[in-house]
Amino acid sequence: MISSITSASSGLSADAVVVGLGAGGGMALRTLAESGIDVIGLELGEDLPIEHRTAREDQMIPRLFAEGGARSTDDMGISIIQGKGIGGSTLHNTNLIGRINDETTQAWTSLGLGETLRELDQSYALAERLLHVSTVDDDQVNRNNQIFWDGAHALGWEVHRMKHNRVACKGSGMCTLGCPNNAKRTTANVLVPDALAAGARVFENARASKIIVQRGRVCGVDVAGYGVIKTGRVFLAGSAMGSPALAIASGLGDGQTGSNLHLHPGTTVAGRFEEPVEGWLGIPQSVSSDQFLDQGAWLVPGFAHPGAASMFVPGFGSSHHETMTNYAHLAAVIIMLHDTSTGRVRPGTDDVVHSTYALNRRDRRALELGIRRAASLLLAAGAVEVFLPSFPPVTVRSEREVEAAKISIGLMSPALTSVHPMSTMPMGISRRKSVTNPWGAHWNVRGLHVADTSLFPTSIGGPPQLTAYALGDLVARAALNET
Amino acid sequence: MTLRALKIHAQDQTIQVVARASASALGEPYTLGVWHEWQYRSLRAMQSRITDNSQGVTGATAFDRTLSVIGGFATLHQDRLRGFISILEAASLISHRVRFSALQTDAQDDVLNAWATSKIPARRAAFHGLKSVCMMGFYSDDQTWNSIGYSLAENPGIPARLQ
Repeated sequence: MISSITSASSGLSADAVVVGLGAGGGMALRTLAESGIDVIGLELGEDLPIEHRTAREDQMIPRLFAEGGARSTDDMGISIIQGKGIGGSTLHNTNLIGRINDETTQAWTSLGLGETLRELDQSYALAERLLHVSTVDDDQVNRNNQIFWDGAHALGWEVHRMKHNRVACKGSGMCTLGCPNNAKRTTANVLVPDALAAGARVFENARASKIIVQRGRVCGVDVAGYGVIKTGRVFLAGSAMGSPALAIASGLGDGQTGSNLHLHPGTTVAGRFEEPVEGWLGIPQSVSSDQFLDQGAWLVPGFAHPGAASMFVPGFGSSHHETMTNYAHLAAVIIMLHDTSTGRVRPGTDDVVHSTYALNRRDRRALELGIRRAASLLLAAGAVEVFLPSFPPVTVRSEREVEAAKISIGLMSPALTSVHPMSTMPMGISRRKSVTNPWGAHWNVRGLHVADTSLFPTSIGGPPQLTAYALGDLVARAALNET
Repeated sequence: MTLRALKIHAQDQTIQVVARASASALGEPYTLGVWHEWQYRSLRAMQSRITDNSQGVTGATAFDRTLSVIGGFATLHQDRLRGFISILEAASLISHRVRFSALQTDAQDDVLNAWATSKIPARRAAFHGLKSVCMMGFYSDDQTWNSIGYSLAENPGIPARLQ
């Protein structure tokens, strides 16, 4: 049973505490509990069972998203969409899932993580089995995704169907607002129930405010509004924003912690079609193209519900609404950067996390390339006109206009969104260049482990979900082997 | 405090200093963490221009939803938005000698357009932040959904309890 930390009896203690119950934390919790460890899971947000999922943006966003949906970089140029609640971002993601690609595998191997990756295979297999990972069926590809497929195919580009983790999906299209049919296989409906059955204790509305360390060894976690939970091990899994922020707030910053932030920042190009697209029906994202990944641009179909979509339609008033009347006829492509730019994370007050991040020249070029090629794809698929995100906005109707378009790349041009923060407490073989060892154990604090996307030493240029799950298991298993 | 932390702190402090000066120029109270009536009026005036009032959604409904969305934000972001709306309310004092909420609608649109297309990224970011909450309130309404063809009731994947 999940209960609020405010109703917990005083004097809690456990062998291990997992801070944050998203993908990595959920898996670490399950692995520890099933190994017989007395473990407590703490989650900043609330439990959101199916009856609380209303499929309405104004009601779900404040409950599902960190900082109520308002998290951003400090200059407000990049909106950072991250989950909170039992399940973390697995509650609101679109369920894209997969192992890291060959290029990232090579990059991590060259950093000395080959043994980690070999061991990760077992954790990948476990996560894939638990979450029912499979390739999306042909008949589940909706119109928006079919347009993407057709456009890429017409241009001779690489395009593939994605893997998902869902069972008996009814195609509500509400993945990003918390599936109202509970079809997504997530931390919330798979891993936490397993962990509870194995004896774990799980608390919601529990904000860890400090990791207590004495003589270089973890001895507890201070929880806001509750007090100290005594423990000898802490698994940090509050995301690549929350984990380093808590470590720094606990006096464990070491210069590396919180730096090296990658975001996969992205923007959206939309195209208007004569025929209805109705992108909100069915699975929002089921195909993808790596055609330009080696140049830094990852292309996937895009979709947003009306509230979020309206924010990115230029202008305001009646002219804005006139554009919105084409909403059912819009197909969209998201350009996500496989970024080499880096930023930095710092703790704020309560659950606010500050961050700074600026695109380097390579990534600015990749963004411009991605915008142009996304427009090409939509035109090749039959779009009547395509709206390029730039300041000022640009509308194009032909390939010649795409090439001639003046696309300005800079702060708020375009406004960017990130759903994949990572790399802020990277694992590695060098104490000087990483925060943890290759198994997620902190170099300088005994009993402190990192079990989320903070561990990624580089951007991965693909969906991070499965690797977060797998690392949660791997780090927990490695810690068990230490004892 | 490190240099970077100081810069973060200074950025929010700058917003609040300008917002306080704006309130002072208007002869209005300004308090962190508190909505004053004049700030509500200003946000409501902005929302009525940002969204399309001809769609049959009452301003009160959209406004209540917007306030609910803002109420879910972390305190820092609520303070930022209150700061932005305070600055907007005073922005027309120099150019029009009238506060934003008292301007004619055409003049309000001019002010909003100047923010939306400003060469200063921070001003565009402020506009984007305010526009986002106004739009979220407006486009979370069944009446507005009807006007753009979106519907929960006609979505076969939506469970009956939500249709």
